[in-house]
Amino acid sequence: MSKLKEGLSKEEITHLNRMYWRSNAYGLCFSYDRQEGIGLQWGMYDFIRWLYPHKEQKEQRLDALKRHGVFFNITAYIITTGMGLFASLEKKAAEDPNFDTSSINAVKAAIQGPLSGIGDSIFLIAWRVVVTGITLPMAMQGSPLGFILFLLLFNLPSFVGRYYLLFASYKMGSTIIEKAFDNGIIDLLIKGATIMGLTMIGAMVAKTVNVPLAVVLGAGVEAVPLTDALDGIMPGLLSVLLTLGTMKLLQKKVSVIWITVGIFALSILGALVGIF
Amino acid sequence: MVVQAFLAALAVWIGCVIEWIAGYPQTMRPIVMGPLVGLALGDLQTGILIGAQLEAIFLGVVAVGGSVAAETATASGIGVGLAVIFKMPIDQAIAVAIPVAYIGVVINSLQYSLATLCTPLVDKVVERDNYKLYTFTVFGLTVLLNGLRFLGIFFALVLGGDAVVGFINGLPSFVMSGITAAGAMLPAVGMAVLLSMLWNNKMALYFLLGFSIIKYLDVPILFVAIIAVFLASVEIIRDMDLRKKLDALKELGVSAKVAKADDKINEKEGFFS
Repeated sequence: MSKLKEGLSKEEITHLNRMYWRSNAYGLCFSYDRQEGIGLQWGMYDFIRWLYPHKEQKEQRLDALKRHGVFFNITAYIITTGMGLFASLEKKAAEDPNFDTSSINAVKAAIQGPLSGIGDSIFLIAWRVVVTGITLPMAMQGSPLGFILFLLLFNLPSFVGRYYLLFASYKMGSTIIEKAFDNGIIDLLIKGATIMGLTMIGAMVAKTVNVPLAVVLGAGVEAVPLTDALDGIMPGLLSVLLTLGTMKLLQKKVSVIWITVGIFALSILGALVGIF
Repeated sequence: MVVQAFLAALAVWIGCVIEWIAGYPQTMRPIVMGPLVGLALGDLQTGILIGAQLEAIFLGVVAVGGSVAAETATASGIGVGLAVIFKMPIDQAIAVAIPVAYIGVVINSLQYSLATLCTPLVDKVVERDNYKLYTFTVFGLTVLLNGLRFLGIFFALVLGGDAVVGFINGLPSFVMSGITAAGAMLPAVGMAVLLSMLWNNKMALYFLLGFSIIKYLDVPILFVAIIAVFLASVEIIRDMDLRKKLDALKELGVSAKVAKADDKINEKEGFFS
């Protein structure tokens, strides 16, 4: 723990600690054009104020604030990876008048995609489903342990991890970019996250998607529900086709709303005709 | 009844604000929101049960990149509200909650759109160079914007509760069958959104693997999570070993050929290709 804060001044540690607590409010005024931007801006406000405390530095202060108020979105549970990095870059900018501040914007733009891919896969897809897998059965039985354990287990890595990530990324600063990105480590992590994510999504489709056909082939004694016939080829074949088909539609830029409306319409009409 | 509708809507409002300012603890998911609303209405048990059922259905719904496939907070609020306030049977409440989740996406869009309209205001406040004012503004706005859900749920329950119950009972059976069928198929949409973000033709087999394990073996999903982590780790470790070997070869001076081969591999295997 103390190794984490080695080499940092007391003031730095105070302001970084504050940044950690503020990283919880990532979703302030969540909007389409800024998303986590305003949350990030508020989270870094205290640190920026510390970097440029004097009245005369108002312009630099406001510039820095506005830099961090633009569109931003990475997995909320690792947002301090960004905050620590930006804080260290801003500190460099404050100390060195020749520092090119537009590089900060470039860094922001570059890291969001890859970090989100990894963060979302690990937290939102994998870990969340693991915790749900453990606690949902309790909730199904009506036990309050279900949601209490869910909240505790799910959020523990987030609260603990964010603290370490903040200090680690602050200390590594821009060397993170060189090490991780150029090294291909980020590519590796994304690959791992994709493998994990796809496997989990496949499992979730199997658990939650069902095409409840009521169509029966043949009649009388020989009657076979179509679903059973298809399951003979592969169980849940229709679920897979439905999911992949929807994905293709999404790739063709059909909006989620229309797909949802379409499925409702088809289902109701289908039920009328006896398909469902 | 009005008081209860108020409490239910308030519980959702608070749960949502917590989500945005207290570290995204997933309080908007049915597994948590259900009990929260149940607690507010004095019937924790029903809240837990409905929340659990909805969570299973919406397991794949995840808010990624600022968009969401289904409004699980509103659905939980209305589902539990209908069950507790209007004594609707749990199964029916859930059946009603499902389409509400998809319709409720409109509320979510509205909230984000209104927030977008507010950003010029936030910018102006930044210019004032006043930390306290800024803090007050952004937190205040966040609380207000989430109030849309409060209004939606409150009025839906107050005006609609009895009407919804009566309406449901009066519907021809095929409509409810259709809605139930849609409820079973719609999770595919949420999953498809996730898939489209991760999809890579080479990796498609992992999707089928996860799917097949569940369908053929019928194991708890936790099992697949373990396998998923295992597969990912194996790949990463193997790739890292390969890199180390290539780096070692480079150093030994088999450098030119290896460097070329390395580049070629990176070109082809580079993830974004």
